[in-house]
Amino acid sequence: MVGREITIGQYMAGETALHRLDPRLKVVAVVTGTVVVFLYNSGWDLLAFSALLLVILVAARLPLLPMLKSLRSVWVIVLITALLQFFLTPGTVIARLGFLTISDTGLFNGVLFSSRIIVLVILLAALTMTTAPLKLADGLESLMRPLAHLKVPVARVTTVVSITLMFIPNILEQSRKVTRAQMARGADFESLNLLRRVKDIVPVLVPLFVKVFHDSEDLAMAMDARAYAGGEHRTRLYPLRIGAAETCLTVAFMALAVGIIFVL
Amino acid sequence: MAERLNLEAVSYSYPLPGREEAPALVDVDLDVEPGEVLCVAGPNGSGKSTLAQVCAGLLSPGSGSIRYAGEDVEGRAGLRELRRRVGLLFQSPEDQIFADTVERDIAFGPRNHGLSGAGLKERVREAAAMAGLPLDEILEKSPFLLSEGEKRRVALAGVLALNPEVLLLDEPFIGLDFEGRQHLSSSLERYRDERGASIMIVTHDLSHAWPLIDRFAIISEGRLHCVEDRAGMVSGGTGLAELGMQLPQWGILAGELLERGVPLDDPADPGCLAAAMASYREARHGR
Repeated sequence: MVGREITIGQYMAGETALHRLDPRLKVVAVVTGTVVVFLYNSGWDLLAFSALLLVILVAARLPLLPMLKSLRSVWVIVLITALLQFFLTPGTVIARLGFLTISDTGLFNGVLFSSRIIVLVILLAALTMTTAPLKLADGLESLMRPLAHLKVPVARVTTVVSITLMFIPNILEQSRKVTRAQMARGADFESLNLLRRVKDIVPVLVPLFVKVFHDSEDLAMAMDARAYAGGEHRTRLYPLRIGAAETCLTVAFMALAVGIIFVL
Repeated sequence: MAERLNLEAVSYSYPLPGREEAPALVDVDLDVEPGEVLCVAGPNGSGKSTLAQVCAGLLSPGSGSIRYAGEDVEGRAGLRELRRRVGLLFQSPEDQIFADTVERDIAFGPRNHGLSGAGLKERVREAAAMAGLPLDEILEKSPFLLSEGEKRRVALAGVLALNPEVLLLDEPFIGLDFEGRQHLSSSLERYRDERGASIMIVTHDLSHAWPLIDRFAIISEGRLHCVEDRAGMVSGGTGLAELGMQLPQWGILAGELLERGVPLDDPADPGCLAAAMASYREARHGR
């Protein structure tokens, strides 16, 4: 057993209404949410949507603080976005840092755009953390089925997506194991010396890739051995069915998300 | 004898955000003495591997204390120092091997400890020889092109090259054929005899390690169930069956003989067992 920390997006089993919601409805709701987040152009819009999202996260009993902590992996993107907006957007100059200037529009855009990224990551995480990878793949396959008429290999694409999602926690677990194996041989991942830390990443990456390639080969063979062929002829153990209550819930969410644009 | 490694009331729980913590070790007291071979045995999920990682300074206990050679192991510096003295061989060699040649892979640990030049080469050769690797044939090869058994030996040599005073091995016999197991056993015996090292073998299967072991620490659901020598193990009072474990066949045989009142000097020595069976047969025929 290896120590576990929460990973943003990693599925967390549960019995809440959001966990039981049909994956297709969840995907449609998330796509709607993503579009409207880009349409919000005031801080109040985004704040109202964040409050709605918070209600959903609480209802799904997702651990809020560990989720926020695990967002550190996207902080770099958020920071770069904010800095680019701060310094490169024209407008009335409100501050100067040497040759760099910050405009009022740049400050507003920087905060808005970086907040958008955080909200979108949490929205997507709410989907993947409450939907088992296989269910999500089933949902995507069902939604993408019309593309099969255009010769898109829908079943294969969704299988690849679901396997990738399933592999993420395995890779993280494996990286912790390999890190410890190398620490046991004197590798110093706690060193403040950046060069040493970069050098010590190689002994982690090589075994990690080797293991991932082996595991993926083994998985492919195991699927072959159990007659997996993909395609339309595959049946479902649990066929997806959408109920009236869950449809109402999803429509209510989408109506609220869109309504924010017009109300605020 | 003064203990080398001492655990006192050590507990460790894995953090599971949003859920209750999962306790893996609860109040474990354990001593490892110099030059002994200690087997930590228990069913799957009993906390054996966690215990090994705590002993190797890779996990910091949530509560309780670790002492090494009488000194308290405290803070990051203490754990780092413990890692210098205790070598841990992980179950899968693929978790460890990364370099493009066997020689460079074995040298990774000693280089991290500051060894270089002729001293480093000598250490690599010694470790490779101790692990049973054919020196000149294999040192320049890629470790990824070797057989599973050879990879295991490279991984073992990589740990032996650190010259650990306590050598910890997590399920070292899994996946090895008969020859591989024999080889590993003799390498471990040689390492203990030549360096006076303590060896800790973590396993769920007692059969392969049985002849090597001086004491057995049986662990179940994160708690230390009992610590026994071989005679104690075969006497039948350890309740192994309740934990879903069993003695190796010759351990069961030794227990049966002792139960019938047949004197037995060493329950792990086939010669002693044969002599005890012969004397038992004679006694029965004599009657």
